[in-house]
Amino acid sequence: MCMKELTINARTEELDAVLQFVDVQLEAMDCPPKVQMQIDLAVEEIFVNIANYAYRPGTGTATIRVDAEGSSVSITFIDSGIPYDPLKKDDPDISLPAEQRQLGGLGILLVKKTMDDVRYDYVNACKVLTIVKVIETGKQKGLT
Amino acid sequence: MNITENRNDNTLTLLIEGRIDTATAPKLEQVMQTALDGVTELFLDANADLMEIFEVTGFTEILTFA
Repeated sequence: MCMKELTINARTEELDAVLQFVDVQLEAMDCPPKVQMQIDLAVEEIFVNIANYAYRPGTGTATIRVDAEGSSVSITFIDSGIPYDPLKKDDPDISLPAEQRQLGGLGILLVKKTMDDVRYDYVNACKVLTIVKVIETGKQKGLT
Repeated sequence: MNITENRNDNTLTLLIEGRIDTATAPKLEQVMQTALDGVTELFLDANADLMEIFEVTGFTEILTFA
């Protein structure tokens, strides 16, 4: 098992640094490009939500932990902002025509659809959101 | 992200190079808002992964994809 951790200001300007940190670990695991794209999208969604909402109107930090274990990777996001479980909200109805669609919710839907597991916890006054993705050529969850 | 516009009568092709993310999406939105006037057919030339995102979010039911 290999675990790396990054603590960074939770600001959208730091997204590139967060993705770079995650991508280095994924490349070390020989992660296929398509799976890396899925993980990058999930990381972006979660980190940007922390940056935009967790400490509003103030600012704070986020810790991103990447755990490579066997053929899967777990990425955990920890922040001490306002408690909020993004998994509790109902998924938007994607069968609706455009004029009936509500705004929002698609980002977390993409995370739920593309990751193999997503877990939320609130521990010691910290939000802990973990995504897990199996990285194994030919056995990807895929998007369809 | 670089966007190249190619307009031919009522057809517009947008060639998108690089990543569309939180930082670059406003630029694409701005192009969409100004470049679509009179356009009846829009082609997006971008990474094939974009298509999969349209599928997961149900936009393949709203838009017509060739």
